[in-house]
Amino acid sequence: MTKATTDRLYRTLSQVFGVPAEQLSDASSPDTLPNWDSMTHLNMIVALEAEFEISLSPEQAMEMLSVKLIRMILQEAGVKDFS
Amino acid sequence: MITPAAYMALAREIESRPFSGLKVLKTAVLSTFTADLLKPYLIAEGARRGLKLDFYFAPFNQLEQQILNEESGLYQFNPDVVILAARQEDLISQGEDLRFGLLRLKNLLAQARRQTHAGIFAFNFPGASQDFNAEWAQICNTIPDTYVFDCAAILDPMGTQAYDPKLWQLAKMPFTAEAQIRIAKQLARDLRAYKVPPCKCLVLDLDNTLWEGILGENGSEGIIIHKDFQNYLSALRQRGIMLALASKNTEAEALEVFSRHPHMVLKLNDFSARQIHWNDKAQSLRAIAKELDIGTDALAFFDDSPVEREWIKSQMPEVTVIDVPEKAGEYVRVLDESGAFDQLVISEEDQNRADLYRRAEGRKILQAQAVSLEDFLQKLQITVLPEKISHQNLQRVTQLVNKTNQFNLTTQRYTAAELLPFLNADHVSLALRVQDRFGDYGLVGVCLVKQTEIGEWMIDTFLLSCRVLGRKVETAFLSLIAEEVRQRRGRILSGIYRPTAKNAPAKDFYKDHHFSQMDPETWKLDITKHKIEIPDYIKVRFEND
Repeated sequence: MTKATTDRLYRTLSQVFGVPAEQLSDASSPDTLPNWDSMTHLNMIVALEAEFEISLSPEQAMEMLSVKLIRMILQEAGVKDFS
Repeated sequence: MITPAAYMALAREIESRPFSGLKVLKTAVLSTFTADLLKPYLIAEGARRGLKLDFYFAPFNQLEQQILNEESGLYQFNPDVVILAARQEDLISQGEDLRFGLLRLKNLLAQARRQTHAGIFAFNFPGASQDFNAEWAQICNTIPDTYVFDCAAILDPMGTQAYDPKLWQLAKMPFTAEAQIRIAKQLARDLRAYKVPPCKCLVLDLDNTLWEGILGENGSEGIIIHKDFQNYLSALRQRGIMLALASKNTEAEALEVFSRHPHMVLKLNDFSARQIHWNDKAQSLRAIAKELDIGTDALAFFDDSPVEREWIKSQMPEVTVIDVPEKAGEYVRVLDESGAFDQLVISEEDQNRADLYRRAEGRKILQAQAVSLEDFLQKLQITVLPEKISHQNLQRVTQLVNKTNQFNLTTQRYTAAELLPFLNADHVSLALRVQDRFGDYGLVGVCLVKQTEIGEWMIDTFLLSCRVLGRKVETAFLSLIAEEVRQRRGRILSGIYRPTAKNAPAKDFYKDHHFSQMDPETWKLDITKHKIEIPDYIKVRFEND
């Protein structure tokens, strides 16, 4: 993938969690980002669905507990281009 | 279209800046769904309309607990506005007539009206019949300073596009992001109309506003008239909104466009005042207000230049500055959605009725309709069903132990394997199911108690899902635990409250049940001397009943 897709993901997460995109990595999770609580998690789901024009299942939505998992699940949901 | 992510960033930014120009509106939200998710959209849409919305979101599905209890979070928050958002299907139990739901809400509105001076906005019901919503509007009309929020008009045209079954399953939020954004836009607009008097005059720029292009550079042949926008402005004027011009241009050239250009919709005499010169626009706006004999706070300002808009915001925070979009095709929509000229309709009849209610007679009417919190809880028919923690329910227990944040005394997390020792007979390990007439909440409580070396019984874990809070279910649960310990000839029950960022709702749990404080986090109760009473409106049913 392209870097463009990763950049889109990071930009979206940066907006949702209020942290600079440079500070995000695959390891980012509710443990490393103070703003990532249960309410923001749901806002994130909605934001990702709108950004990538996909629809996540409840299970996928609940499993997105780190940036790495988010990337895997987005691929599974049909978002192409992840390196 | 702003993306949800961009809304969230915007809301964060608005909340972080001490923004002098915005009017603060303390807004309490009571709902039968998780309205909290609307927050970023409401904050952003509120700010676009000059409002700084400070929120109190009551825990969902606690309408009675919030409205009937004079000491509830709702009243402590001292709101300017209360939003009541109930879904019709959440108001009644299965098989009941929907009208009971309306009656229930009517009583709540009457009670809320006695307790607070806040304006009340009550959602109507998407998917309901017109008659049903008309009846609801009539009810709201009988209660002073209470307005219907026309949610049905927003969601019904969207059909299934408005509903997201996944969000409902995960979070008890029924609406899609798109529907949430539309609700937020209209609600922010209504709140603005409540808080801010309608603007009386719209001050417009010329270049790239009334037409495309720059007159001084392109000449009058080189500009394209924004006809749709001008038609809309013309209609505004018909409604009694004054129009004015504030443009940095050479006046003679500009006036020639009005008299000569074949496509111009607006004529010079459609404008009540004009300031066309190269001076500061803040001065132009002051001059216009003075000429029209209105306050500068009655001005709305529409200018394509972000620099001019920021300048006016900084110099004249009282002016309603419209967030003009880059594309001229969106001018009409954005100006309309700004709500700058909206007025909540208050008829003379409403006014008279408001006066009546202020008199003693009116208060009596409300009192007659009032239901006490006790009555309400009584009618809820709450049943608690304690059961031993076992391999059958271990999965659900593990889930609760690891995700419950609010009513959780110690927030001690355990894996299923780590919980196994608690299944031994020398521990008191109970789970609690809860039902009421609205349905079965399932397994929602967990308590783990172990005996210490000195023979006391120590509550290691005590938690309840937030779905059943506010009904004293926790008191019933603690009473059942104490009874178990008593049967094992235990005397001292001890417990710990370990504060976290989220468990404030459990803070006074031990204190409220007459435990004595031993040190900052430890509490003890002699259960041979103190009996914890189960509230009389809660029924207990044991496993083998």
